[in-house]
Amino acid sequence: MHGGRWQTSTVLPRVDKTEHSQAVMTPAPYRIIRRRRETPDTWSLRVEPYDRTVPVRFRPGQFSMLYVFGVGEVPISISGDPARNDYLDFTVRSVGMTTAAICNLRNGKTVGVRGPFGSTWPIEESKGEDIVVIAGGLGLAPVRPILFYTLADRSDYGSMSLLYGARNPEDFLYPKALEGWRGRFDMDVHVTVDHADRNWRSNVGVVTRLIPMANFDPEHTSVFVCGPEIMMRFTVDDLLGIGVSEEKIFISLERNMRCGVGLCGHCQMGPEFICKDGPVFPLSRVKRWFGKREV
Amino acid sequence: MTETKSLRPILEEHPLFRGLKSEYLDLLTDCAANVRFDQDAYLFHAGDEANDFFLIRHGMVAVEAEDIKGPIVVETLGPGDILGWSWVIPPYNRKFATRAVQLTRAISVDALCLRQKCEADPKFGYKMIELFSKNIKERLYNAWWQMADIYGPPAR
Amino acid sequence: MRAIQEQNAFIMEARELNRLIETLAEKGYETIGPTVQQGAILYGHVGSAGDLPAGWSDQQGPGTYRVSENGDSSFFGYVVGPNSGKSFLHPSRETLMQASRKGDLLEFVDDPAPPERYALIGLRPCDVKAIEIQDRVLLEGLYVDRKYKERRDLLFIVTVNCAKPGGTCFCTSMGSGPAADSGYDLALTELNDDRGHRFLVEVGSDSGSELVAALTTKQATAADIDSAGRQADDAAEAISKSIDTTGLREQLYDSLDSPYWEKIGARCLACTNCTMVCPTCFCTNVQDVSDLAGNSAERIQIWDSCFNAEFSGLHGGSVRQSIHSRYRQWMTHKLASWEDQFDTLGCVGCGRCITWCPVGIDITEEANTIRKRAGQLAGTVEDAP
Repeated sequence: MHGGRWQTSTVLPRVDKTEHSQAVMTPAPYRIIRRRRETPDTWSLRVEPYDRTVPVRFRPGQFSMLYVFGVGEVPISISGDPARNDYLDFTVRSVGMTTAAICNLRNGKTVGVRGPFGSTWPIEESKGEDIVVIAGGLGLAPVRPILFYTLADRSDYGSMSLLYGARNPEDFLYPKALEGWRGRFDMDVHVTVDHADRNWRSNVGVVTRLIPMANFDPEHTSVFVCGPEIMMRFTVDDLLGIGVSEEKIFISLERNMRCGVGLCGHCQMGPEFICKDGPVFPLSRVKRWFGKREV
Repeated sequence: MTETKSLRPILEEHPLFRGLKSEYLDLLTDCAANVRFDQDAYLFHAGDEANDFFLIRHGMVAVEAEDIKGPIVVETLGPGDILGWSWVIPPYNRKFATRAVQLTRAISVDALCLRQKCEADPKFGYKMIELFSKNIKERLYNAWWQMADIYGPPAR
Repeated sequence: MRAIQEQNAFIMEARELNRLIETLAEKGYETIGPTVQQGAILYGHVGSAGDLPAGWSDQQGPGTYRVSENGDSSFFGYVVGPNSGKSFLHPSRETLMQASRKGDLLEFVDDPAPPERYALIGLRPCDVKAIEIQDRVLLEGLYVDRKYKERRDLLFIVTVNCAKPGGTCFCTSMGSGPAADSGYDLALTELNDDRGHRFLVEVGSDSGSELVAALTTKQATAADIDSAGRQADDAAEAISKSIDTTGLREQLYDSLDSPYWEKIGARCLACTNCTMVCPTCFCTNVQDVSDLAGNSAERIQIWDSCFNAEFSGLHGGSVRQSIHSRYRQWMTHKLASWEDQFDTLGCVGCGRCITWCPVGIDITEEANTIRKRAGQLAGTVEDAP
């Protein structure tokens, strides 16, 4: 087996295996209790289980499989506050039949939820470190739980930076939350867009241009990166270039997933099952495959 | 003279010139001046003669392309960035406009002065071309990436 | 020669095979064994020894499969057909769950169908090994395939050791044959010589032992054991194909950018045959079906293949667009990354992917070629003159 395999089990205990043997492929019904349009094609949904006595748990970085009756099922990152155990938040972009159906579900409708599945951002192990979160586009959704988690225990961490790039100013997710983070004195927020007109009075350019603006010590920093693969590739190159170690750069990968639990084979990238070994990986573990054409 | 002398350490600290030979820094310093632009002031317009380039020290500058519907911001530059390449390559004309998005302080380097020094000392000239090419390369890569519209809706 | 423990080995007359099948059926097993169907030898329902392909053999080569009657009285004179234990334990179509709707409310239930209780009779040692490999994938990870587990827990395996390998066999490279070491309830060696038509029976489990007790057998003699051992040795000797697996994983990983993949990709039709006939390939997709009234729906799991373009599909396109990248995924999975994932190779050397490939792509030849070219990355690949 590969050396230095990053075990999520060191973070929080994995759920006991016997719990997984039953009904891992059968969803639980959740009711939509809030929906909000983030951008023209992206919606945030808040769902709660029918059975409200069952606490809802997830760890930052994990995803759920969301099922729409008779239509299909897709993996969606959980984007809410991990401290809340009464609901789950998801941000979904309408790009296919199933995601379009999810985005069309009104309040009170039901969605099937399996999970949470997958590895987590190692925020517990990063205590005492500077934290840099770099997101591109929809990639802010899977990293948002990091911000909830670390800001709840702000004094456990060194400097904190959020670097966020989007297509244009209208496409920023969670504008209110962004506003809140920008207003904090204990956190450094920089945003940039690819395209803007003159009314935009902030950065225009690629997200890596924000890295020099953030205040952190490359040797004592954990960096969490999420966005399109090309964005992560450029970002990782720049981070390595300024001396962040590949063990402390974490990326969240996306592949086709059918089961979410490593049984259907779809999400493989080299030896990794993105669904159960990932989606979050330290760069050191996946560098051989990351960015390789058609792997 | 006293003013330009004080600019030397700033030039020396600039990422682009870090490690540059002392005599070359002197040559650069001879052509440098301190400048400031108020919010929304233009540093230059498209079509202007390229008589200088800038090292931004503070603030933010937008590189703008004029469109029928108004200016499009191509990219923004901030502290530590270098602004203006047209001075290197004939016919030394500006392609884009640049505007201070906020109060901006910079060092301007006189292009006529610097070009003369490059002609006089081709080794120095080569060094300047090398440094600017590096910057142009990085910015070009970024521009390609930015153009790819990676956050846009997936192609069907 | 193979070590067969005398106290564990019995001799059963050929005609007793029928009793073996009937006894398993009486015990409540659905008895599955080789049958001649649709011009091939396929595992299917067998009610008695008369359903077995006695006197039939198969001829196999790259892209070639034929069956013929040879007049021999042996029950197991063929090698392997296109299906395997996978068709029963991890079937091509399986209901996962059912959903029903009442207004805005949905209810989900696990598919309630009880598991089948299979006795697989006549599985080849490579196919027994394939089940062990699928166990690692579907049972021994963090998550378990519930339906596979239920069937697996009830399974009874009667393997039959190989006497004559086929033209595409390479089990000796994969340590999976021609005789079975483990993983069975009973292992048979069919002996059909001047001392008569009989089976050497080796017991591999308590339920195997129980079954033998219900049959008429006698203790195997040293001569019987010797014959069985020699048969296995002769079979191993007759195998012509091989893959050198030492250091293969690293060499394949180092060869990901080899232009040779494109050579294979140019021949490969991405027809998915190799993955369908492979006894270890486990990939599946899901289908959602609902009734016309829209009140109930099912999720159905079906076999999928990494050769399908949509297999790696993300919004906006597939990760593996080219056929050669899909072949590379398939081969490197079988012979390299499977080892990282499950501590075993994903290949048992049954040769089915070679036989059933319409253009006769041979994994042994291709792996060996990639190996030879390891490290050679750029430039044009010229065919040998």
